Amino acid sequence: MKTILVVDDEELIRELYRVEMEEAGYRVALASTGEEALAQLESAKPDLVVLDIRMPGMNGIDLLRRIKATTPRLPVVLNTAYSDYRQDFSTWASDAYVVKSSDLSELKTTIQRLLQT
Amino acid sequence: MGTIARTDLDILNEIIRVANSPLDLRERLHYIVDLTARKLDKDVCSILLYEKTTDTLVLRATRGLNPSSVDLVRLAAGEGITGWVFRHKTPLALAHAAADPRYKYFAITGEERFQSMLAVPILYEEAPLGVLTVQTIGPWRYHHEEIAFLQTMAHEVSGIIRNAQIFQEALDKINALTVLYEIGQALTSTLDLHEVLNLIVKNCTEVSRASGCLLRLLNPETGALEIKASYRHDGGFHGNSSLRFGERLALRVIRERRPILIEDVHREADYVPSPQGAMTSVLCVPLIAKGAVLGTLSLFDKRGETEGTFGPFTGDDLRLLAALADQAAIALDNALTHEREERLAAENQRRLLQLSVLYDIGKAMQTTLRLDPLLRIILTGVTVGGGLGFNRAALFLVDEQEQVLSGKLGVGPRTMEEAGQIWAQIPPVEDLGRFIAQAGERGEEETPFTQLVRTIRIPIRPDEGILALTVLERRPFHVRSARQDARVNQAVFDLFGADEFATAPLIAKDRVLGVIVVDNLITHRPITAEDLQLLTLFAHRAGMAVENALVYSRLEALNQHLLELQDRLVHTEKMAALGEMAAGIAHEIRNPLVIVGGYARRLASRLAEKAPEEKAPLEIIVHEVTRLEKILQEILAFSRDALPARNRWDLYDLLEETLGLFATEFAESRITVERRFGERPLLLEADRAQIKQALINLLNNAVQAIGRDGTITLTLARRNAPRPEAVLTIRDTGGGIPPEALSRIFNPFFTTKAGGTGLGLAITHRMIVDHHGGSIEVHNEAGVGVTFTVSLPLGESPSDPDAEEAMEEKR
Repeated sequence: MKTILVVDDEELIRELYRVEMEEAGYRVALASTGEEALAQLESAKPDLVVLDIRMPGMNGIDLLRRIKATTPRLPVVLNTAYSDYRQDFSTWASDAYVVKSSDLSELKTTIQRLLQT
Repeated sequence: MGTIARTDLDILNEIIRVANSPLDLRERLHYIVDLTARKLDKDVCSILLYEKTTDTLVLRATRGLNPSSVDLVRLAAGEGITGWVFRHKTPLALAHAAADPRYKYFAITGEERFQSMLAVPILYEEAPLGVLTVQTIGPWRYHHEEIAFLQTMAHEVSGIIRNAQIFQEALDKINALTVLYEIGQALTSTLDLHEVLNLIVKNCTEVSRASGCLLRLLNPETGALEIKASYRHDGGFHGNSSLRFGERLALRVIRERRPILIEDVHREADYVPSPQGAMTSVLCVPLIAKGAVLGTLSLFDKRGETEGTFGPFTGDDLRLLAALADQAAIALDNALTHEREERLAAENQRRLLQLSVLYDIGKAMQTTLRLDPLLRIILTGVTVGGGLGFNRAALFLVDEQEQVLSGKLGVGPRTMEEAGQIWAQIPPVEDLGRFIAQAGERGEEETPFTQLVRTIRIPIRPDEGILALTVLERRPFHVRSARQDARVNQAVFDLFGADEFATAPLIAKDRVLGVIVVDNLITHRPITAEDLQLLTLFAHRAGMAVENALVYSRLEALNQHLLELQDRLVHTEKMAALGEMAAGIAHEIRNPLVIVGGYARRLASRLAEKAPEEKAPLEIIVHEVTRLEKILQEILAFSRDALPARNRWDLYDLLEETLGLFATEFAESRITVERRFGERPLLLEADRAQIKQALINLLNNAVQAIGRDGTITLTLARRNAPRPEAVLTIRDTGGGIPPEALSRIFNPFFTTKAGGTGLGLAITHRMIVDHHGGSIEVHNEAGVGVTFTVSLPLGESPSDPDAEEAMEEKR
């Protein structure tokens, strides 16, 4: 079973993702901050990270840089309410960029695609 | 003897008394024949006098012959006994006159019954004046004393005749002087040229007993001799050929500045016979005043004593006419001067009016700075009756960018009827300024003439007709016949339709702004040099006003443009602020929406199995959340695309610009740059900032690979197949990439360098391949260096459909 780390400061979103991903057949680890996420990377050893950008403390882009520097092969899906981060060169290092939506099907197919390769 | 001598003395006494009496010549002659017949006791005594004009001896007085034959008996000089005596100036006494072969008698006198005849010549200083005769019924042999007595009587008669002649001449002279005086009075009594001319010809004809008179004047402008007045005693007119002959003579008189008398024109070499044929004698005198020849006065055919007969003019006539001509010339000169003065005064009056009109129009022009009203004021000034008074006027302005004259406005009627309507509105002169100024405000609807004018566009070239020439040569033109003038653009002429027209340039500060065209299509009044002068003067003023209006309208347009720019800027700022705010709100809303929508979806899919009837309300929630999310998406897309990203630019420029950023670095690291460039420019339609970033990354890469001492070789060229694209290669001498790393160089955060982010090539790849549909390849020569080959499509690159849509909306 693949493990997905969901990083988001919004608790209800984390919960929604968790139930949805578990139903889709993934093990889900959660982190509400960048720091928590770094710890989870060590402990949960996720196969993929779903990363929000705007977070208090370490933001998603800083975290992305950390992840890509240490484990460049770990797929990262940026999942944010802001579509304009696409313009930011730094986000281009991510493997996918999915704008947040109540319809999680796009996120799910992206995760599925990235985990297959 | 003694009786005769005493009788002689008595007679002489009486004759002297008669001669000195106030009786006229005829009465005195009668007295003498009466006295002579009585004293000599003879039946008949007669006096025949010579008439020069007819070369005959005419019976002037008689005693004993039929009294009614006086003046009727005419005898050619040399004819009959009397004629012989006259011719030979010697007395002849015949006892039987009828027996003499020279004898001739006139039945009317009843003289055939008289037998003897004594005739003595009446002489005056050897010149014969006539003959004195006595006759008796019976034969009579005249003795010596009788002949001597009759000669004495003849001598006295001669004296009487001579005196009478002198008296008559004196009388004539007095008459002539009186006439001259009266003519002078009459002539100076008026200054009206026409009246003076008619007075001259009439008086000259009557005074000199001519049958006709012609007065010719020299036209000071053309130098031609023109008939100004004529008069004929019988009221008729002279034939043409006579006039031609008369003109040649008049020209000769003017040339020689002296009177010429021609007694018989038929003897002149250049005489052309005329059907009228009446003319025989011509007298022509010059009219000279203050040393200048004004013209000539010609008299035709002197009327004889008897009605219907004509004779030649004499030297006396010539002198009389010359005297008359002197008077006439002075009167004529006065009248001409007077006329000139009147003309000059009228001229001054008109000039003054024109100046005031110019002033009025100028004042009216100052009432507005707006171009359209100004143009209307100008053309109204040109056409208004109290103004320049042309029938129609059109105005063209120079379009400097396109170098054409384009029609702006036309003022004037098209038909006589329209003309009447329009011109009826024209006010008296004092209101002119206000009327013209109001023309600008009236803003009348477009007249057909204006519509016509607006369709005309004329390139400013020398072969494009008069209007173009007016601009090019900066001067007015006056075309008298457009149909025959090669310079006229016939197509334009057909539109205007006036054969005569004039143009004037509107000039301000050495620049031709436009052209005014005027014509008198309706009245056909010829355009004078003065009209043209005034038009030019006016056009000059109008040019300055138009310049002001143009400057003003340019300022106005600029101001308008600035206002619009400001509006747009405000709008853009507003939109940017709005976009920012919207984006902020959208983001804040998006998370709750995801939560609401996400859980609703979960519920909906679960309830679908357990309680299908509850599913519908949840689906409504899901649907509405999706709708909200879509709206958010649109708002965000809109705010993002407020900034333009793509436009056309030259890749060469960008490459040089980017190389410029590395200048210091190249120098410090001793890196040489070699350029192998193809044709310029290579225009791309792409996000310049992104491509610049890509170039920076690639060059950075090369610099870092080289480290120190090396060469970067750049080639840039166009490739047309398989699609048009710009191909850039960047080759370094940095030793190349280790083969195991080669496959990963475009991965994010991959780096072989200490301190590198590992993002450079990844970003470059994204920008060039994903965002601009280009390609990037790497060719590695281990131990030598790396060559990156970048290709970017020329023309439209694939773009974000969302952004396109948003752009559409914005427009």
